Amino acid sequence: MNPTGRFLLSMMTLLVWAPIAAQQPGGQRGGAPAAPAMTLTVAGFPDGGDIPVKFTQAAPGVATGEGLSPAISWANPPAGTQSYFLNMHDEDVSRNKTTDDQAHWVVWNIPATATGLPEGVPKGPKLANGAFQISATGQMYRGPGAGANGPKHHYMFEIYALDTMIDVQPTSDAFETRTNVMKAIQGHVLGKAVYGGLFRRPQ
Amino acid sequence: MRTRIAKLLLVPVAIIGLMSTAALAQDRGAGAGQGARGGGGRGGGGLVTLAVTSTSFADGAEIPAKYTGAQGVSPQLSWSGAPAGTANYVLIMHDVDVAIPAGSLHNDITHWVVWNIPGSTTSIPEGGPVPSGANQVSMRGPQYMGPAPPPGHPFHHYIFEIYALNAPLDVAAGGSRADVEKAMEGKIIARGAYVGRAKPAQ
Repeated sequence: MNPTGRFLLSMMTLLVWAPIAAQQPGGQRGGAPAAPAMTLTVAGFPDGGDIPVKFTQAAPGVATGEGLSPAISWANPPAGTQSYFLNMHDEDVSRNKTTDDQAHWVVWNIPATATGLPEGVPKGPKLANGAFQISATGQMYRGPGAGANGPKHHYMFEIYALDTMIDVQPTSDAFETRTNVMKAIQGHVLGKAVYGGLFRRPQ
Repeated sequence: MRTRIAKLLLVPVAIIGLMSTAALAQDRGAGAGQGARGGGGRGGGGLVTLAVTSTSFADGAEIPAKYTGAQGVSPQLSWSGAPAGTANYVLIMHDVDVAIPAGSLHNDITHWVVWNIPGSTTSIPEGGPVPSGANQVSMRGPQYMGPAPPPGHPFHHYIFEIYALNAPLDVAAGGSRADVEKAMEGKIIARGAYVGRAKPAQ
């Protein structure tokens, strides 16, 4: 995007921000009825339910750290959405004694025209729709892989609707890249929706 | 220009190879109840997973009304599997469906933070109180804040995160979630989660 376009976008951002900012959390009571909230659905399991083995590292023939990504769809994007960012992460892992957790799939600059991702997104630096992807494994979806002997892990799929494409290039480190993306979206989040699943390897 | 340089750097095979080495041990080791090393120079450690349970609702299920809204009481929580060296615990309950422009990487809704839970404590009873010596905070002050998604929203997801720390936090009563999270960095030796969902009250 050229500088003029970016400037116009940031001006649009200012215009759309006020009503959205008012919705959360103070705007929860009273006021005009809000637009329908964005929703996220991951195919193959109920929200909060068990993730099928086929989408995990435990599926037959799947290389360690890889896997078949589930079909993901979203609806009711906020007005002004310019791109989406998907952050799939494992809530039960702490990296290097910090609050950072496991990066299973970080997909950003998903075009605003997209309403989902198909099952089985191929590995590679970019998706067919032009978005970047990365995970702790590499440029690919990292299936759930929690060990059979421990508790189930909680894998959260979080989609952010943004008022801009973001200027972040992947580095060789998925965690650094995710941090860069999280920083870049600050002030650009129009909406968010979440879907969660549980998994541990079969006993 | 930046794009071109980045593309040159993105020799996919090399990167994938490097990163796989670093990443392999991470989530597998977590389930084994051992502090598996992260390997690959990532520093490792902190990979023990705590088992978190609740008698109040099933993991991943809808949170019963008695625990929601302004009158809601806090659910029962227990945890186990902490490694040797656990000095105390932190509980952070947050609503991940909301992104608020808080200027923080954790820009969601803080429902309950309890810190400096003694290492000898492995549960919090329904309705509290928080263990002696611990402090608590939420967006409502020093108390639990029950889920209350706005009208028209789908189910929101409330993550109850339990962190085992190797040292107490120097955060006094009145501290914020940001204060607690900052103080936790470098001290987390195990972690576990429990998830409940809630939809808007009708």
